[in-house]
Amino acid sequence: MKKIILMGIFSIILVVFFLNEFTILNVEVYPVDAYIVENEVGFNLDTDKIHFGNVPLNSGGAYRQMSITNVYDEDVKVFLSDSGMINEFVYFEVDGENYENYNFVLKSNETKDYKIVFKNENLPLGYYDGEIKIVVRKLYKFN
Amino acid sequence: MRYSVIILLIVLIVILGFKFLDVESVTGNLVNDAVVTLTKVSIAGIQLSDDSIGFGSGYVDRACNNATVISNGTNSCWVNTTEYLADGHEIINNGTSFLNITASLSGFTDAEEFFCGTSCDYTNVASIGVYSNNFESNSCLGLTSDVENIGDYNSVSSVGICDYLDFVDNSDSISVYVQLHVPIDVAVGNKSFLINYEASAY
Repeated sequence: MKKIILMGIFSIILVVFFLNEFTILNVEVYPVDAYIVENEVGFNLDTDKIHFGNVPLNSGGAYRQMSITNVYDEDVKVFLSDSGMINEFVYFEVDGENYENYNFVLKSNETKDYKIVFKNENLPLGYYDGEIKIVVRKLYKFN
Repeated sequence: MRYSVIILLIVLIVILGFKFLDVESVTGNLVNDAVVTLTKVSIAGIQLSDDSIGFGSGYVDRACNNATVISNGTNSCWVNTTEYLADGHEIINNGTSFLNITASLSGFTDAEEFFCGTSCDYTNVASIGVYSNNFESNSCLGLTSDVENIGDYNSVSSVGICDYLDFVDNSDSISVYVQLHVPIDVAVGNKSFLINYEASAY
């Protein structure tokens, strides 16, 4: 009996592990950073990071406009999240709504526009960095 | 009975596993491997309050219908009650590609709303404009030719303030000055607005 239970638990672990690991199609991590400075607007659109640039102290914040396209034949589910020092000051703006994390189904050949927004309200001068993570998972469908 | 409980438990955990993974359903075929592409990351925006310029306090000279107040320190038909100093927004290209920079008014539908709140008798002259200069020489190709309105009495618009902002050190920054056309019947009180500067890379 114990063997059966152990096998059952082992099977469950395997199933969960499989689902967790093998439904992920793609993970992309983009470093992000921002400088809060006294009195200048600085843009940096280099592609090594998602730079918010030089953001003046107590200004209205900064954003990067993004779009994501599913270039393949099938639908997928996309998960957007952020982490690091910058985490609590960054959110995703989609269709006028703000989200700390955001996930959505992206149909084949569909493009979704969104903004990554950095709010620097009451933040002191300095350098802030973190990461934006995009995870793409397979989408299961009923036949 | 025990086997039934175990099987039920397994089914329950598998279902929870799917729920945890946010998979829409559990039957059918897996889709083909799919990849998404992230494109158009070349646009950035920064919002800046005119507080960082600061026009001080004042009022429209009663001999005029409106006043012109420019953040370069000049004005006409404007009576200062507190002095304001010449000041502009400095915009720098910190990257390694040419940038196109635009400016737009944020938070108001037009300049009349900013000055008056609703329609006032003389607010058809209300406007908020910007003009750009090289802060460092040879920084920009395609500055504004004159003051261009980001807001007038009934609309807002996006204004190109620099078509090609260079990235070479010591030639990569411009200044932007703000011009207000203040109607004589402007609503009294502290006023501020946001200018949204947006950059796109070539």
